[in-house]
Amino acid sequence: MANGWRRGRLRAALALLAAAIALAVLAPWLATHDPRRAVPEEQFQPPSATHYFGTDLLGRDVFSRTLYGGGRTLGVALLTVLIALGPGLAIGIAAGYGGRWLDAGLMMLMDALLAFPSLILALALIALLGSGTVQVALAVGIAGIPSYARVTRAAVIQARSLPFVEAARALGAGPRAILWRHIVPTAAPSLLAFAGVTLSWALLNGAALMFLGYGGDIAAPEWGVMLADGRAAFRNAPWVALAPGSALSVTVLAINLLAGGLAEHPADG
Amino acid sequence: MLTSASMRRRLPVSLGVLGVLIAILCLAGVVVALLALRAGLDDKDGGNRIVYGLTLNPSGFDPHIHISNELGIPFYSIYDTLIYRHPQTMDFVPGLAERWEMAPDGLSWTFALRRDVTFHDGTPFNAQAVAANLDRITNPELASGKALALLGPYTGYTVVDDFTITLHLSEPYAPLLDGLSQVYLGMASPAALREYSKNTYQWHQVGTGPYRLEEIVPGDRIILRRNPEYAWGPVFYAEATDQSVDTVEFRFYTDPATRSLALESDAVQMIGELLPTDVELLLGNTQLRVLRVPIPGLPQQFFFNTKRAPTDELAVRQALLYATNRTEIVDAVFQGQSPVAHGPLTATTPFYDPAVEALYPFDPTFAQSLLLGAGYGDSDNDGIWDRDGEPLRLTMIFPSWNQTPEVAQLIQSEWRDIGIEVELIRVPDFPTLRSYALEGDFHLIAFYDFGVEASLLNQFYMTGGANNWSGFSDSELDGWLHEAVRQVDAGTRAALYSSVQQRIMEQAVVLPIREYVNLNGTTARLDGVIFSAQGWWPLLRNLQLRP
Amino acid sequence: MGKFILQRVGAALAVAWIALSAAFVVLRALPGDAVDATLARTGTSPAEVAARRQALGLADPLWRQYAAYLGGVVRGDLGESLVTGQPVAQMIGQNFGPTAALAGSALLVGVALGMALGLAAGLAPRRAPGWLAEGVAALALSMPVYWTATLAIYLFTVVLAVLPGVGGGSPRQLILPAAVLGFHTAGSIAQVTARSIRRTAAQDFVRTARAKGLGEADVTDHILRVSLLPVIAVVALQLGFLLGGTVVTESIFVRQGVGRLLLAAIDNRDFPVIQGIVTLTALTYSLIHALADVLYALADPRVRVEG
Repeated sequence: MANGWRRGRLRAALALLAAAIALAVLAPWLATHDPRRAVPEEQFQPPSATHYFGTDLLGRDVFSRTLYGGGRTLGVALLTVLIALGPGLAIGIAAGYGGRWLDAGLMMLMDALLAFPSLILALALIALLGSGTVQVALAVGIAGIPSYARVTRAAVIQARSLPFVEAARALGAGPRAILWRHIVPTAAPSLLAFAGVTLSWALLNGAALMFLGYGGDIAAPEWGVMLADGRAAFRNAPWVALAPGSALSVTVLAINLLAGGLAEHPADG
Repeated sequence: MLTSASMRRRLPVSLGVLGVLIAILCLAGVVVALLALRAGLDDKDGGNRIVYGLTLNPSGFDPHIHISNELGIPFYSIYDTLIYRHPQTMDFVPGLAERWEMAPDGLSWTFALRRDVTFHDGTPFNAQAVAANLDRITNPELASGKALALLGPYTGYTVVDDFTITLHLSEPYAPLLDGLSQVYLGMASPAALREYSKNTYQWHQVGTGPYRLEEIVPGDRIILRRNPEYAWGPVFYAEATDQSVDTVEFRFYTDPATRSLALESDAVQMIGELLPTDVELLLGNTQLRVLRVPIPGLPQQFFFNTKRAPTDELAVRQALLYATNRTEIVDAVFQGQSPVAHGPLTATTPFYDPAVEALYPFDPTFAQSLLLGAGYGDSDNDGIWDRDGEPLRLTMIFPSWNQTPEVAQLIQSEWRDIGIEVELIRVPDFPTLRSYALEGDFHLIAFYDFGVEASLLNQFYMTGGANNWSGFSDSELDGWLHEAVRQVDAGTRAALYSSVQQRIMEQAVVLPIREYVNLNGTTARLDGVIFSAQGWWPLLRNLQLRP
Repeated sequence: MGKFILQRVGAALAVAWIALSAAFVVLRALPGDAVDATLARTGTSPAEVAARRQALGLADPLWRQYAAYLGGVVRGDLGESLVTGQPVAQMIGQNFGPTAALAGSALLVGVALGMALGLAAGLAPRRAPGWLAEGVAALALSMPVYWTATLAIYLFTVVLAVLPGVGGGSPRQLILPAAVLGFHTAGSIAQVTARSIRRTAAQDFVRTARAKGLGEADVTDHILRVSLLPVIAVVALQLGFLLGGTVVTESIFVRQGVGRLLLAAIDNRDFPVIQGIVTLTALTYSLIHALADVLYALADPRVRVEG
């Protein structure tokens, strides 16, 4: 089924994402200025040879901030996915593999979590734990647990009814052995694909909380924070928002294209 | 045929389901259209009309109960106060009271009231009306926030005759007149107060002012209409003309970034708290005007925590004051639209003492020598100074409003240059800010309030004051602050407040940044824009809209 | 069928109750309360602050506050605002209209645009329209609302000056926020539609139908009937998202609505208002899901057996 266009798209997406990660990792070497240092005399300089993406209200270099910001933004997103993945998997497996009552109860809890406005959840967590990157990852991650739980549960239920799993059960294998030897490996690929898809969700939501100002150290470069700074300055200096806004969109686009491609492939094969 | 039939069974979606979906959507569309249409109909009414952009949602609308500064913007024109402060001179001028007199012992004030005033509901204004208002405000059930506090040591009243009332105090109280000139002590119709409960009166406010309240939809709009009978205004109110504004519709523009847009696109004809960075753009537009209104009271500032190391040391606090380039902050963040602040009061506040201006010039070298004297130095050469192995690291707490985050980041960058590290914590709302303050979990914290009366300082600087977040305590200062409230003579008060301001700055209790200036924008067609002495509240009476 | 509906509605109520209880606990964990947000700010003495807290019932033990609140909710009484004294139901009522108008029109934009993009991408995957549609859908999914909104306001209000950027009150002011929010919604609707069409097109019965010599139009008709089923679910999900997810849009476009009411209530620690909004959104959300499930079940009897 694979055709040239799809493969090309996948390659382009992969290249974009790799570039984003590389730029974030290499920021200390690529940056032209200290991303935190304010130089008020150089406020709102347009893009130039010294400041590739111009400067912001406090005269900080937007190019360097965008590079450094990538690491923080992507890091939070990865952490978010990991935070959602663990409990999501556990709850999904318990619901899909446990009894009917356990399943109903857990899924109802997950529904309640989904129905709970995520903003309040995030605010409460941040109020409890203080603002900061890890707290943002926790806030977004916890809101994401229900989706993981649902997908895991569906995968487990599907795997459980596969002929070889039923055969194993008929042969007298214990439930734990069946779970670890058969069900988890069978369900893993689709879960991994799902984690990929949700990375873009984590990026957008993490940046949104940063945008709203819950990211802790506000002077540290981060795309959501920069977008918020840039929005206030948009009429004087659109470049302050354009750089992080485009970086965020392109990164998410790459992940979406990649994840979309991956999600289709297992179904094809 | 057989295939087709079995296919039908495998194709369970009937077009009926799609139909239901489409029907629901269409219904939603109709509802939307109806709502939109209804909103459109509301807009059609004649007369001279402006839309005024408010910058935050007041948490409550009843001036007797609630505390928000913002509520004064619409409601100061619904009410009259017994006394006004002249917007330019800040002198007390007659309002609903024609004359007033303090008893020689300072324990009572007698007010002679105007006899020609009627409330919007047609009932007459008299001494009984004043009494009803005082009864309401002092009723503990009402839980008055600000109005009650403004009355100070008030103990009761005597109605002398229909148009004379005496207020009694337990001790002399100089700020009383200022309190009586604020919207929180505006005179409401006793009939309306009786008709509505303490919770519902706010939607049906009835005063004697130049505008009547027509409608409040919280979070959406407040509509005022001109009171054609109004003829008892203070001296600075002009006569109505046929260009007077008949209807003022207040709408909420809580996001600073889009306020200038609302003004330019003519969605509003007047709006406050523009972003300093937008002012230059607006000045280039001949259709618009920018009015800079200084706000008396405390400046935008940070309190030092005098109870926690290392800001418990005077030398450290003083070093931090010398290390702060306030001019740079004002120029960069506020685009030079606000004056630099030097002391605990702003320059437009009565009893301001300019002596504080000479105290802490920007001098990073001197700041470092003060720190050296206190035992600090960069022993490990990491760029951050330290003492006994403890790096000089401070925590700064501030809210998201008034560009404080930008100010904080600039301070962080400035102080880093001389070896001081600052951790910035931005909090989302006031209760969080307050909880940091109460726990003492900070070195610097942003907090301030506004008002013309210098006695505003008491709650911030007196030992145990309700908002004394710095934890500062100085018995001599307490004595001066207390005495200044009891002394009615302006000269005596000025001397006391001079000592107060100088002591606060000598002790470096606070890091003042800039004097608050409200950047208002209006259409150039709007004349007669004046603000009350408090600065925040426009007086709508004189507004004239040219065609 | 009746039993199934009853089950779903029961589950929805239970979900709302759990969300409400969670909100109740979570809110008490926030620093400060309504008295801190209002009275304490003016320098009122600690004794008066404490008295006020007592009067508002904030000093009662938590279980008593919870019991009182739950009792009220069961009787249909959401309580009164701690700040303005206004009944919470009335406050939400006043703000529901504008939010529904925004969510409704955004959904219209989202469904129309999303279906169009999804159909193009699904039915013409290897041609220019499909390629283009897929690109637009991917873009819609990649741009956060606060970023699209900033760009849209700049483009349509500042540069072109054709639409009012912010504020509420006139229907014209609904256009931009509805378009921005709808654009976002269109992304996921398009994706699901396209994926579902492709999956259906690859199924046996389509090949059989083609082999049987059915016309291409008839085949498309069959594909669409099957593949639009998942779209119902996604539209329902999006409606839930829109009703709860207008907070950012309402703030940026400065529109009245439940989202901004919620933000203000959080700032003021106005617990009854927050709890009321949580309860109602959770209820709406889970009832919409229940409705989608029922529609699904009506359409496909197998669902009932598995559910």
